[in-house]
Amino acid sequence: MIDVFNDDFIKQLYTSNREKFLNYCKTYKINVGESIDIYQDAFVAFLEQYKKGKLNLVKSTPSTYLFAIGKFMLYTNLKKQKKLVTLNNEEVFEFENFEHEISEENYYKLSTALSKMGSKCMAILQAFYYSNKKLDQITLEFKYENKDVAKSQKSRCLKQLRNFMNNG
Amino acid sequence: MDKEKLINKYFEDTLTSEEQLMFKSILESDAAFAEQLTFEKQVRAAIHLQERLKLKQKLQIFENQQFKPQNLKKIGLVAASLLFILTSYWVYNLSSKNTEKIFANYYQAYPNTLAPIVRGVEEGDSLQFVAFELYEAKKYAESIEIFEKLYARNNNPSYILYIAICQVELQNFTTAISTFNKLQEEKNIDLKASSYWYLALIYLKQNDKAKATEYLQKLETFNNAYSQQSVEVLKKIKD
Repeated sequence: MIDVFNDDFIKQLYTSNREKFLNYCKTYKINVGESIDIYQDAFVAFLEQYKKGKLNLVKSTPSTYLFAIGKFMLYTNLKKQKKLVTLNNEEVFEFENFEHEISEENYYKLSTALSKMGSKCMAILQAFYYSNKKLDQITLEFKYENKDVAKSQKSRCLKQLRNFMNNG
Repeated sequence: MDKEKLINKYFEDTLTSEEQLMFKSILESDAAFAEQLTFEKQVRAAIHLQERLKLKQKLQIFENQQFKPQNLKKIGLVAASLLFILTSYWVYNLSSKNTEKIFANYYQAYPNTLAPIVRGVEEGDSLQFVAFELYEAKKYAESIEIFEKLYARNNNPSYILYIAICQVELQNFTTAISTFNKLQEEKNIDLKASSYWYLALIYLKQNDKAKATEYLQKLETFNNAYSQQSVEVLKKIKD
């Protein structure tokens, strides 16, 4: 997945916008610790959208996106629901908060089950559910014979995950 | 169209309007279909939340490496977080001589400083990640099980510390004492100091001032974040 430590783009982007964002937070009298926390949440959200290919980086720069998300997180509480992030008052993208889709108990069960999965299954599940890759793309990237093979592989992985979840 | 394909297309966001109608009607009439959809939504949610947490932890380390003042960098992340916790207690003015109260005022579960800083953990190995997630969520009984597995795997003594803390949290003080005792011969000075500190607090909790004093006096000589704290507690015991 995303490798923060060996990715110069990520490090550079984090560093070059940090000061500006913290200064922006200062005008709202938010303390540094809290501002850093918001900045990091915004950065995580940015990386997620970036990974999903949802950002139009021809039209706006990564910094613009990052700052828009950061400002948004500063103003609103994202905890409970799906919200729309507006960029330059025209472009909008959706940022989903998944916490309402899963109970705490199931989250821990699933996290434990996911940790037991083999790396290949984990890669497919992450590609499909996290990176929003379609089965066609997965077929190509994972070099499956055809889409049906990808589909049944994904299905096998889900079954295994369900087993781990139910049987510990 | 088969049902699995419909669910896949739902997640791909490629259902045609005709398929959307079909999807809706099956969802209302077919319990197994609805259950499978809920399960997959939970998988999607869990993967997202897990990934966000991992990324945030990495950014926190990067933040600490890049932007913390130089002197803190030298002491290291572990000492820095310890220092933070301890200094926040320095302002705490204790009024009671009651040893139980000293425990309550000074005891704090050891922070998760291991998961983000241990090197050599493969990206795919998320057992440790799960252990700390459970630990931070205060699910101590469950996290002990995983810490024990992790310890069996590579004998990293830090896991012993976390197991002992879980036992304290679960009020199993006698077991916790014997677990902390395992760290006494430890070469790692931070682990050794931590075990002394927590042993002293447990003995205070049990109102055994003599034993508590013994460990606090050992800590005085360590010249670390615990030392000053020990002086303070020793004074409170004598008062």
